[in-house]
Amino acid sequence: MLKIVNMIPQALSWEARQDAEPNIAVNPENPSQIVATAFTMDPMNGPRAPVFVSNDGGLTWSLRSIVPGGPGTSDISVGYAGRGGALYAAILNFSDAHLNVLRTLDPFSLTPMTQLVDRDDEDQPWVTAATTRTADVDQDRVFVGHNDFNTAPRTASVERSQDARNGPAPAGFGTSAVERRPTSGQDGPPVRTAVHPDGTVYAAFQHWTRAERIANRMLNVHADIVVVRDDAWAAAANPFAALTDPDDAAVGLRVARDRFLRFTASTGPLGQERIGADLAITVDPASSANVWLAWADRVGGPDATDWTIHVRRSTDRGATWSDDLRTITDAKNPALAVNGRGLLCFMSQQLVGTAPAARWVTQLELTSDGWAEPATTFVLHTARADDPRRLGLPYLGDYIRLEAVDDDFYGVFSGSNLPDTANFPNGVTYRRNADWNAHVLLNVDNVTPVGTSIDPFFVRHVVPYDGRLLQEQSGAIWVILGGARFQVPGQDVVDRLFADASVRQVWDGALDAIPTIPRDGTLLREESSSQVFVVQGGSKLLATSFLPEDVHVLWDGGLAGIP
Amino acid sequence: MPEPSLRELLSSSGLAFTGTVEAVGATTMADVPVDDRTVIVRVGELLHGPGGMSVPPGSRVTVQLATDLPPMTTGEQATFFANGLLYGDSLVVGEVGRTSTEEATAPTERLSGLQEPVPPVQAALAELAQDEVVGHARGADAVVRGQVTALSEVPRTGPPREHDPHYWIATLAVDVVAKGELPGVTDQGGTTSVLYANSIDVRWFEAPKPKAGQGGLWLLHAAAGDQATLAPFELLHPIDLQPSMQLNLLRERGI
Repeated sequence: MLKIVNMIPQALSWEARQDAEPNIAVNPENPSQIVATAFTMDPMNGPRAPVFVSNDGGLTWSLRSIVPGGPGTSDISVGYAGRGGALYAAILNFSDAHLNVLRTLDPFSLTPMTQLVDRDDEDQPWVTAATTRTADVDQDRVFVGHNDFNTAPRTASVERSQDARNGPAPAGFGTSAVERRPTSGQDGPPVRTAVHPDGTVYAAFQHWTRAERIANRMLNVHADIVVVRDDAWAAAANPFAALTDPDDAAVGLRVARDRFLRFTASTGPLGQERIGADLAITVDPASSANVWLAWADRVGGPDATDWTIHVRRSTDRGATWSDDLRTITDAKNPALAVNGRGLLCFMSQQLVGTAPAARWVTQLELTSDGWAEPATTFVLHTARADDPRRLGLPYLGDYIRLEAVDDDFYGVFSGSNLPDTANFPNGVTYRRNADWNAHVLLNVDNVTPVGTSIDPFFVRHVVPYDGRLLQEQSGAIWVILGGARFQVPGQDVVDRLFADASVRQVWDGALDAIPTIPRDGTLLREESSSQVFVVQGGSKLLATSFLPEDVHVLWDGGLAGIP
Repeated sequence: MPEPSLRELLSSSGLAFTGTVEAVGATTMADVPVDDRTVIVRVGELLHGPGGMSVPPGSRVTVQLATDLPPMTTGEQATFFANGLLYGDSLVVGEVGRTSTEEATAPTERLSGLQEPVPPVQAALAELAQDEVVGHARGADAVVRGQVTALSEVPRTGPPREHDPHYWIATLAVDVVAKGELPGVTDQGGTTSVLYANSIDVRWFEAPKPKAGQGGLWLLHAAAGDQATLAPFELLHPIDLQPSMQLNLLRERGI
């Protein structure tokens, strides 16, 4: 089940800026609460930048300007604490480009976020967080990957706090370089972190070994893709030192070595987009030994034009890595997440075709076996790469983001907002006004045309595993059994038969494509009856041999829909 | 405390509109906390807002009334001056000031170049736009009229950054110095060099980027730090380049 939503609210139907580089944080305690960001300016050019918030699982969004530092940001990333509802943001301040780490205990209020860290000469912060409980007190463990030029030439760093929720600034924050090797003068901009509830924290970065300026705005870079790990919340004095590379005995496992990167800050060689800083890492919530890594480089070397994403996996806490399990040419913005059942979700944006017919295609892939079998793939969005004309860089963003909460995936990407159903093969919901027949955006008056621009889009993928309880906006509650949907007659039945399962909110019609007849072999009975049925060929037959624990129990009358 | 002027109200608000209170203690958006100062206003006319913004007549807006102004009752009309609080399926704004509808909208003011009188809000907005330029010019280290005669890229040193400004230098042939002292420029004119960020990165893409042959009124800021070794001045803000005719405005205001 897939839902894609244009995040610009109806009241901002006049908005026509380049809302690139989105980020997202989902409240793990209440996934209906989601906060997202982009290079979206305060609509009235006020003193604070906005965040997008949703209280209904991403179906509708509103903007609240709570980020201090000016009407926008020069970078922004957000992360929710594991419990308690605190939201952390790390930005490059719009006014002075300083790194700011920010906190709010309620992102749905209109109160400005509190500044915890303020430091010059930084780049591309990336927030992850978790919560632990000590002596009945929750402690938010927050990790901000950042490229700290104050520590040059070893710039890849992680700002971290073991108790960010409590106390005034700096709330326990301090930084340390995770780069241990000599560099060409710096590391690459992206430093990504992945946190597991058992205290394992991974960080990935581009270790730049050589950088040659070929033009004022372009570099040829040779880099290693490095992963570091800490096994105890990175709380000790020498954090992120748990992985050493067997070949040089230095801290940091070089997953890929001497890769060629073309780094462009102010030119756009891929579509209208710049390249050079594509990196993602995620850890399996079921086992911190399983970790996934994605990056992009130029396989063909300095004379080539490709920009290729690679995805690899480690099953031994980063000590050894697979070869490439997935590659995509001319693509950027890899995003990774693993759900509670080990399903990997991979999102990316690929430039398909050649100009002027080239298109940006954003797609989402699901694999439970590392692409051993073909992944389940969804095209989320496809749009001409030359429309709209860029206002600046990045065009789509230097990153997009995915998160998994329990079994579901939540993501954001940016792309053309041209209202054309052909651009959204899996559907989309717009709150802003649009004429879908004329392919024109409309202002709040629903009459005046508005030019095409780059908007952030929310995507949610719900996996209808057996036993899941899903509630549509209209209130209808469904349970999934044998791959089929059964409408639960009331909350009392939920309380009686499915007390251990949590109910997840979904959109109206989310379950329309799910069959009403279970797959063959499904065992079912009604709660007041001892008769057990097995589904065969679309019908229920009396079962004579079964294991009681394999039998799904429905309410009386629940099997009436199965002939 | 004296009543704030229209100019003061407009300069402290992003939005001005006329409207009628339709409901008190109510909101157009479900997740907004409501008190007796939360009102729904049916909009009469949008008088001022961000470029491109539309708030159609008849649309409903939630207004959190200012605590230092009298509460309002259903049916009351006013001109509201407000800032955005929340943008969703509708608009929620926080009031910063209020006048009568007539005080803001009756066509009683004169604007140079227009035969017909204009509403006071329109006149005040025009004055504010001029004030912004004048204020910015007062804060500038030099104001010159000139034309771009050369553009050159500053060789980059040091580590590359995504947010690099990618400095270039524009050479200006100056024929009028309205403010400041420029080395090598006399009453007869001369040339000066100006640093500017040519990057189109999100941090810099709105910074002014002079083009070859471009003329105008340039509001220059003394370069500081490492930049001072490259050029004596730099361009920083989108309004640092003005049409040459603005020179008259600056002279009128004593610059």
